[in-house]
Amino acid sequence: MAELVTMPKLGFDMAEGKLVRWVKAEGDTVAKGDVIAEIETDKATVEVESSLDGVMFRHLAPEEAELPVNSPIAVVSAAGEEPTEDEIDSLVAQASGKPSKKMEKPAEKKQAEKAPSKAVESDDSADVSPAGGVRSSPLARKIAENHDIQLAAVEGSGPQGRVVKKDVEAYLDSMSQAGSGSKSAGNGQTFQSASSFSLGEVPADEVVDLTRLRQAISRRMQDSNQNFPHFYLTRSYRTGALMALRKQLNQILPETDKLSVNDFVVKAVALALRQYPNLNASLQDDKNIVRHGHVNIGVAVAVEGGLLTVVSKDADLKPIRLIAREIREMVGRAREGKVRPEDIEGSTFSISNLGMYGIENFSAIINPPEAAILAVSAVQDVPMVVDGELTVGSQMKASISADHRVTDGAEAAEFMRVLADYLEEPMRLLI
Amino acid sequence: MDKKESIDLYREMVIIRRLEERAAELYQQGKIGGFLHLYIGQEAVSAGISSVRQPQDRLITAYRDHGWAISAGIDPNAVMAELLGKVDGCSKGKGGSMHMADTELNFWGGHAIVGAHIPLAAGLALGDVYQGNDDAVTICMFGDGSTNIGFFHEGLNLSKVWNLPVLWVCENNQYGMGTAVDRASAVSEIRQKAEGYGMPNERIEGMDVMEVRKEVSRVLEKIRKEGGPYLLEIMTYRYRGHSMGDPERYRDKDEVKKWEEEDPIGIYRKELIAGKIATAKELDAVDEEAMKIVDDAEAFAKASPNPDKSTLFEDIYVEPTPVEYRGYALERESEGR
Ligand SMILES: Cc1ncc(C[n+]2csc(CCOP(=O)(O)OP(=O)(O)O)c2C)c(N)n1
Repeated sequence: MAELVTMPKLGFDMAEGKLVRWVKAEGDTVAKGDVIAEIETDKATVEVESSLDGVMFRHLAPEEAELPVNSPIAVVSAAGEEPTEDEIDSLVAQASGKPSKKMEKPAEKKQAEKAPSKAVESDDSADVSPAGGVRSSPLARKIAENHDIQLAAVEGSGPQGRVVKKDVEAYLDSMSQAGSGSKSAGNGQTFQSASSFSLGEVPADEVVDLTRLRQAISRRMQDSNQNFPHFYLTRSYRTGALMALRKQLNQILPETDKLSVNDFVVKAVALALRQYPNLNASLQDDKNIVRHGHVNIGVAVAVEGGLLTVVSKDADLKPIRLIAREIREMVGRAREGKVRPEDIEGSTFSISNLGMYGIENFSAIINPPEAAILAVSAVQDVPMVVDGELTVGSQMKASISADHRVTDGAEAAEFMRVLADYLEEPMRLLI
Repeated sequence: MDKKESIDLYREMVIIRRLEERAAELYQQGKIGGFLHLYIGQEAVSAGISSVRQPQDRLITAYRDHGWAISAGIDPNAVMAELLGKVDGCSKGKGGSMHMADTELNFWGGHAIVGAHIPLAAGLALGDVYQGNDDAVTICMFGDGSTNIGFFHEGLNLSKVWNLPVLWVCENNQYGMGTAVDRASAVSEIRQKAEGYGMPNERIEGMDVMEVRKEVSRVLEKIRKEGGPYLLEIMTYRYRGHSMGDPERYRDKDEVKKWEEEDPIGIYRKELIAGKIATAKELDAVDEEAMKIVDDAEAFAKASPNPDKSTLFEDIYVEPTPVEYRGYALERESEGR
């Protein structure tokens, strides 16, 4: 009598498996213990043995199909037996509660989508065999597979030429440099003539693993955006005086100690927070608000593949020159990947400044567990009305995003006004 | 050994083999939770040792314990029911594959943490000494891999310091998961590790059940007479992966084939026929009988109910702990989480 072969469970947490290869073709004789297929689990590709004797009558799933454990994958019949379509259908229906045709369709589609990666797949087993193939780490294999590269082409730096992650990455780098040589040369002149366009140059989709940093960012930002009820307030600040003062100070400061607009903003925010301790706070266990004694300003820094916040500690107490120097050093370390734990720990309020990109206004996501974040935009010359006269003046917008569980609109608005006192009369920042 | 005993021993080995093959199928169907480590290939060790173990001898082993459970005398029905997590299992369905036990049979169980049962074995033996159970020996089984773990050295050391009646048995199946012995152990003969504790030791072959039986019987009597611990290293081989889903890239198929030619069941079958103890026909009948026992065990296990949730906190401590003290999870459950 015909019997079904189903997707086997091959590990305690396996829910789904990929049928990598049929070892027994339709029509082949099958004996108990014969390898009939190779199945890929999260961990490895495993040979699956038959628990039935008979003939591989029909494959119900194509190679490359990914199926949940227990889904029918084949029919094994007794020698000489020819099960009818109805019999097969009813076997499948019994096993899955669904007609077999439905099983086949999504599986076929998958195969079509995945067809191009097949060459890599079949190499896989050779790659790990210590005997003749390429020695490689599982991570290296995964990256190579994602980028459709053959491990044999990569030079391994591990013991006995074992290919590890950094080798594959170096290989990828060298490939992308080789491919982009002309692009970088023509900086500013990147338009191609129409005749050089060809559809063949469309790059394939690329799948990139989340780095540890991106994982941390995504976790924290998702938590904040979903669980912190944000509200947003935007205000314009006149920055004519600030720009003039900065110019004046930078004339007397050595090259290494020049002040940025952001350094003034950090100081101004820190002083304003002294008056609004509720914004220099975090919610604890949904029960208490902790108003922090220290005013530590986190400054978001773009680094490769993500961002970090370096922390200017006790910025309310320090002179701007010291704030500026510390931030500059921390940013340098962050960009070189040499950031120290103390550089990024302990912020009580954060600032994100996209002014250098010419951004006119934006709002930021709170950096948990803080109560608020200030999004600072570009200083721009804009038309403005001064004493009833239309003139041109220097202006900057800033938006606060605040946690409504901790504070309310009026309080945040007052903070923004006090911030104006400091930014618009910047002498206050020096005394 | 008379004819009946000889055939019983054969039946026992075949039952272990067939029951585990069936377990592999049930696991692939998703009917068995957790991990499943098969003993297939090593049957001569559990069958041989258990055939000379006396009722007063305590037995304790690691997670590869289905063979031991059956050799210890647990009903195949109860073993299969335990695999399926059913209430009629030998550990009431709450232990699963790695935690078969029956203290009434003096079988102190399978243990999942590598090496963790080794100090327990020393404790069992200490208990016997303390209670004056003079002729009891504790038999402690472990794999080659676990001899690289601190527990092993602590257990061996204390057993020698206190001169405890323990038969330490390393079932050397040549791999700890995917790691061959000489890649993880500083000495390739595990028995040498006993030297460091001044303990008598030996390495013996483990594919021929009669050989295992003879050697172990001799050593057990020696311990009974002279006291003190003894370490035996028994050379064997597992035919299947470490656990289900093991791609077995660490060994050649040819190596497995070579060992399969020395199949403990095949060897014993030949011996029985050559020694005119049983005919091939008689043994075929035993094979069929074993198959039927396994079929019945599967049916029994499938018919047995799941354990009741309320029993979750039972059988953890010797003295029952009131649920109030452990109420967190139950409370959560009653809230429907
Ligand atoms: C303390 C501890 N470390 C690691 C593991 C994971 N683990 C499970 S089995 C195993 C290998 C043990 O090999 P061996 O003692 O030779 O026993 P065998 O599987 O060969 O019977 C390991 C490392 C574990 N269960 N416990």
